[in-house]
Amino acid sequence: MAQPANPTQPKKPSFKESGGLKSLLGLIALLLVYVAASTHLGIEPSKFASGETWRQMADLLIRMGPYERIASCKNANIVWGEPDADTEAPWSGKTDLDKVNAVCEQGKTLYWYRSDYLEEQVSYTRDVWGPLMQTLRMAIVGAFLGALLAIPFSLLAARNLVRSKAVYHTVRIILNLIRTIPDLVLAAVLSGALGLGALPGVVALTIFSFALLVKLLSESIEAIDPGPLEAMRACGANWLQMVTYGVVPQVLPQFLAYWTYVLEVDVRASTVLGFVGAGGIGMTLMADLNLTRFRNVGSIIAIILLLVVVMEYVSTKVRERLV
Amino acid sequence: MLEFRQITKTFPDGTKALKDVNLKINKGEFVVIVGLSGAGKSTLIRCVNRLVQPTSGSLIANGKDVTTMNEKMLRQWRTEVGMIFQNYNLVKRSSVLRNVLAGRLGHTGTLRSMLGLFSAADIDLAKRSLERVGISEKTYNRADQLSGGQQQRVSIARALCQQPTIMLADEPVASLDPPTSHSVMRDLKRINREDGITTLVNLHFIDMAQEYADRIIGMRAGEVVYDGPADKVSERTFEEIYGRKIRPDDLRGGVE
Repeated sequence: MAQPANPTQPKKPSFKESGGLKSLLGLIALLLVYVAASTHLGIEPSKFASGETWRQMADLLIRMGPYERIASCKNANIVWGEPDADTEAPWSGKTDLDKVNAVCEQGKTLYWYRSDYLEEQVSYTRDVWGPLMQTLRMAIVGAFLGALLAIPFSLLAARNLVRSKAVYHTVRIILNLIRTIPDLVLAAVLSGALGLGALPGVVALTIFSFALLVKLLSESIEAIDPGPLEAMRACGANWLQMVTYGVVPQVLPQFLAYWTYVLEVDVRASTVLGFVGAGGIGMTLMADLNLTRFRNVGSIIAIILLLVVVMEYVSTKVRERLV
Repeated sequence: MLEFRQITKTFPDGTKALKDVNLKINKGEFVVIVGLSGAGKSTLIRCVNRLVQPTSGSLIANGKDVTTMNEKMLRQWRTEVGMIFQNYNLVKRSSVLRNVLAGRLGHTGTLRSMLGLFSAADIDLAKRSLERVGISEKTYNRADQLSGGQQQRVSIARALCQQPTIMLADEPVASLDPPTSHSVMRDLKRINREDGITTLVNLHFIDMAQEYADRIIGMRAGEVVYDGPADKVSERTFEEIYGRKIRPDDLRGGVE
């Protein structure tokens, strides 16, 4: 141990010793993930419109029902068969809607190929990459904002930190109320209020993660060892210092474990939120369902399954390391 | 320098922990408070830094009444009173240095301390405190890697780091083995002598009380039943304090 030569002029502590470096690096890493997730989230202010957006979308979906149109036009000619250069060429790069129009209005023959299924769906995966990433970003941003909000409120919802019974019970009741609202309902209401897209999804996930995290975190705060808190009170520490030095080190591993769990739940939830117009892959899934593009639906479900499995694996591993 | 005036404490469940306690503690004294568990030793010691708020009476420290201090004055007063506990009360997941620095919290601004920005002088003080209790080589270890005796020394270093004028110790050796108990008591005694810190220690081992104390205060059922210099007490005195015969487990033994 290096001894300072003169006790009145101690050597300046390195940044590392003061613990500043570790907290700074952690903070920067978290911010980077957050910024990466929140940029290109696809929140466009112009879309914060009224019920008009809803009506337009409903109209579009009704008009686009392809099978009804094919069924209603008599010269539709659909053949299952192997593709060759002649039959393939006219259809390359065409959407299902183009195909339906061509079949119904121009009397063209549409070949639906069994053999190009894989190729078609691999290229479709590239199309849904954007919405998929939007889903992931929504989940990350929602979990981040939810955690930010959850930290102060879980302190207020912990009986061992709040002396005032009124504050404690008020916070608890509000949180219980929030938790009773299913995330899907929350997203539906919010997309009505905020317009279609990622914004209502993020807000819904923020509220959802917030309520879940506060519940989990406040209960682990209540279970901490009260000894260090007593020691700090005896040192003349104030409430915030007690929280920083006595509570945070004790609950940090649990907090991070809960957070990865909430992130995992958010990913699962956000895949479905699109059903009510809250952006992400769920919206693509719903469009494909309504347009009866079941091959695409199958691909999306497989992709979501993969995403959820990967998320679960990663968050389980992280939790194993932390607890 | 410290005066208990008619201190009474009744807990919400009706337990009378202290009944009209009057005491005067002089500067630099090493006082050991003995008594069976439940005699009110812990409550008495916690009245000094108001971890327990007395029901009535007053506690005068340096001319000020501790029992009526507001929150800010109380925190100021607590910075002058170091305290060590039976279960050490360290944050197990934090480093030894960070635990010791917690002793500076009362002297450090809220924002600075939350960001971990202690002054160079504070960090130096923390390291010197660790040196004084002989565990400076553990400075960067996590507290839960240390043995019980080492953890208790860290908590002494934390109290030292406050640069207190009074040191309170609530059963500091009850969780330790005999040799470690003696070395912790020797540390406390040495600090008491070197820095002139008034020290109040709760013990229930009568041999340790006799060995280390300048003055012994005996408590039974919330009342002070004995108060006198350590060299004047005998086994007979302890039997009066405890209200029963002395048993082998009232002795720590194990002087190296």
